[in-house]
Amino acid sequence: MADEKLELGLNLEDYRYEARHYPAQGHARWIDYNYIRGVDFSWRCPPWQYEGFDAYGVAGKCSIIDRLLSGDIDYSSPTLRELVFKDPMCGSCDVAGKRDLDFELQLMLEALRVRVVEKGNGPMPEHLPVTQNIERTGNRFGKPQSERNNWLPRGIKPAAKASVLYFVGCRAAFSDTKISQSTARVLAAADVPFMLMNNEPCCGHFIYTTGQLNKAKQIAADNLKLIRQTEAKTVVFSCAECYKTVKVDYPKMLGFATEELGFEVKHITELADAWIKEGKLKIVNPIDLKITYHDPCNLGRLSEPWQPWQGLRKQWGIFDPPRTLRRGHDGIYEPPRAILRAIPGVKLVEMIRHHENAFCDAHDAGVKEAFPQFATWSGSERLREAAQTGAEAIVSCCPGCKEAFLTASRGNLQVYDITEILAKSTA
Amino acid sequence: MKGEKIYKYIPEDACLALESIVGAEYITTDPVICSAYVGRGFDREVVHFSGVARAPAAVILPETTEEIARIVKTCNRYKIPFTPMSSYGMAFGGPNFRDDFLFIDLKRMNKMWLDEKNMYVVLEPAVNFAQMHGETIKRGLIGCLPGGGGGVSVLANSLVNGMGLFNYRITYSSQRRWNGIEWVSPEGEIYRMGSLVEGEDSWYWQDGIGPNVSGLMHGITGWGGGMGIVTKMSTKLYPISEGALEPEGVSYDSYVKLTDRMKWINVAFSSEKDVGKTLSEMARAGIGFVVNRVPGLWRDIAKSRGNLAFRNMFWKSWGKRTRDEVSNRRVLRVLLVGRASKAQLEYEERVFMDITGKYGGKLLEARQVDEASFFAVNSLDMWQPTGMFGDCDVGMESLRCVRAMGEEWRAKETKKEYTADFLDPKGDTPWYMSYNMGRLYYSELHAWPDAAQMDPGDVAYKEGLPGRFMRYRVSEAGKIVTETGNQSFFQSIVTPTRLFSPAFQNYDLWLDRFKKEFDPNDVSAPGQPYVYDRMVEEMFPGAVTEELKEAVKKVAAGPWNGNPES
Repeated sequence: MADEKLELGLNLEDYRYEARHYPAQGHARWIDYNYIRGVDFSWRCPPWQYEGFDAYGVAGKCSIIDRLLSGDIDYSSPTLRELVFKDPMCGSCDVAGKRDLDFELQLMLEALRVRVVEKGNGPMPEHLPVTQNIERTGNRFGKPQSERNNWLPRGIKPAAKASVLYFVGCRAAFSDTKISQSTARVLAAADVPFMLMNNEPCCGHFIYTTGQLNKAKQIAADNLKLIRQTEAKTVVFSCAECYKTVKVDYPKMLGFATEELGFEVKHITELADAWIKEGKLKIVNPIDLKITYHDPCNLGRLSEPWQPWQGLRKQWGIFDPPRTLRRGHDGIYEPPRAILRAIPGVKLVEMIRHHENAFCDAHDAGVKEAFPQFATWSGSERLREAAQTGAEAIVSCCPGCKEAFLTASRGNLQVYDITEILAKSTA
Repeated sequence: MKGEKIYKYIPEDACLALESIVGAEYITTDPVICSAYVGRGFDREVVHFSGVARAPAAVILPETTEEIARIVKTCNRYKIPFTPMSSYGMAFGGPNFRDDFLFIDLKRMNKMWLDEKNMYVVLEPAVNFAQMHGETIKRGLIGCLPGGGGGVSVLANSLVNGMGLFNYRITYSSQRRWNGIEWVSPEGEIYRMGSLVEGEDSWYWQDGIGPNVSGLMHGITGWGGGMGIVTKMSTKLYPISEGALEPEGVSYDSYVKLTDRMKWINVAFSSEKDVGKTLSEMARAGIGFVVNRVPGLWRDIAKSRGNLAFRNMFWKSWGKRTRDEVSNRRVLRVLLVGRASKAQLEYEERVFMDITGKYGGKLLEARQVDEASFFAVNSLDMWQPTGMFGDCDVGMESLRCVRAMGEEWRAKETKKEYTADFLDPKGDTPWYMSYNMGRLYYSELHAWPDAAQMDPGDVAYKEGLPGRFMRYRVSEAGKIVTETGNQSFFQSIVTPTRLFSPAFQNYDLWLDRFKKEFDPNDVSAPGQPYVYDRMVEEMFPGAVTEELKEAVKKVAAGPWNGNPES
């Protein structure tokens, strides 16, 4: 009896078992059943809910992948390209696939995207301008890199050398500088010296999530070299996309474990939460606001450390050596909530879909660029859920999510990044 | 029309007529989108890997009853076979042998109307149990969650029979729980039945003027989806104790907190006889809300929770269990609920302890939360040990019959041929539970083959195993169920309907006559409920043994139901 050799990286063939055996009785359509509180806000998959047809959800994609791998359908279909890329790659179905069983649905979908690009049917034409910007200028907006540090507020001067490196990211550096400025102020309030990279490059998140693996690998290798050259012990992020890319996708693409990166990867909320508890970061200003918190996918269910695994699937499907799985519940969920609860005057209320059940705003992975109508719908759907809590503001931890809500907002909810709230309360 | 337009199986003018009903964005003939609807659902492996499942020629997503009626009329006009699907929990709802069918995906029909005062809810097909309970439990009302899980369509499951853990306390058979029904016949006429004859808002009662034709709505035990489409159903709700059941925990270990009027109790007995006596006395005493005889295997499945692969965790613990340990420990899991008061809970607990004490029951630890009864019953867990959970048959009868069936199944499992192919349950009897306060008992016969070994596309594929599995499922299980006089519930799902029909007074003749009358164009899931028959005939002819044929003949000759003592 042949045992199956598996690597469970980005090779689509390794997920044939998922494609053929996922008992998709619609479970990946809904959030965890124990959390469902009615028909409204029970869906977990944005494209499946938006489009209706099963092909846009993971259950249908399993059937399609099975047929692709067996050659019954080919990779050239425009419809295939649409349903592969009309997906924010939010990892929600992966949580469902690992609720009761051990299915690697997110990795399977990432491998599918990579394969579709390799076969020449992707990325979407709308992805090319951003890709070219990153390749040409080192940032997604195509702006001169010389302007990258223009966000720095007066009175805050990064150190030439420090153990903490702040990786700013393209959005916070160029388009939403309130986030980078607030982050810098929080670091200063905690009296933590930080340095910036010289000519910080784009992390490559967009390139990776649009399936352009070879380009993304090169970016990962180059960026790691640059980060390591800074000799930083801790790299801090205010962008959930950059955070997850460096923490999870670089090791995944380059074949090692997160703990082998050579530096500690931290989101600003992890550090700020610890500093508040230690008394190092003092909350001095109350904020009288009823807030609901939106878990960014890249900070929550997608951010668990990467651990490569190679081995055999033996009889009964037993893994040899035993595998640990990234089930999505060990992401960064509590630090942002602890920060908000620590601010006097803030009343934190939860949406129905929270933590690993959070509904994605669908601005990531090239969706906003290629399918703006769908992205706006998804953001609006999340805002509708937020409004139902009675909150006055929705707060998140990712410039992409903030942008999504600002785009979809009709002005009935205030939209903030958590660094803005934190900077106000610590100033 | 969404995606590529292909008029190979359904002509262009028919497609355009259908498109005019729902709009261009809700119909497709695109082969990639259609291929998402191939053979998914319960027991997918058997059907899918046998090579008979086909993608539909088109998929349509209607939103209203009126749209469905027009779609069905169009299908009749063009002779297009159609099959509806709501939550897609089962793969047998349609003519998946054919290339020319229209798949009616009902997920846009997801509205519900709750009448709290009169304790019923009106549902469209796509509303699932977790969604319904999300609205009703906070108002102190419940339905009955089936083993298929919170994602199962309430309406579709009700047509099937609606069995679940709460059937012990609330009326067994959803067919006795439903009220008014709105139905689109196989020819596309809209019928409103039961009290709905009084007016569109009269959903409160199953019966109305004229004959009660709700038997036409039977699913598995009827036409298997081949008798039109039920578009709305009112189903009764039942009181549960006051107080919301608030969720907690991470996804792989989520639960709802119990109110102070609820309590789980686990008790171990040394023999099945003692379990049976306890069940009988509980029923006579009128206590208990859920009463479940839990196989040892399930407990190891439930405890395999963490970041290590569940599969690894399960085998680590199950591999150490000895046959003596498993077969001598029969665990009864009971939920007590004080629906009227806390004093009721205390009273029921005292009575229960008296009864279990009499029969040597030993209290085990019980976690005082609910993981899987109110929202999340999830038979997906059952895939955990081997990647596949094969339901072989289901019996409903008296406690004595159900236990006899279980003991015979247990004896069969010790045969070498069997244990070599399937997970060894180590001498445990199959799962069973009491329904309707002890008036009826329900049991399922399960087998766990390695899913990869059943899959011709897998490197681990084991030649001949699917055939052996089908023989056990059809003949071995079928023979036991038939000979012990149990009502096989999974007719047309795990047993060929025509093969077994003589043992059940040739009920297929009735099915055929009604089908011909109501579906003269044979477009409503044609081939049902005989799709399984055809699969066995074409793909697994060896699954039907001479012994089984003899057993059926013997039962058909009488006495009826094969159980002279019943």
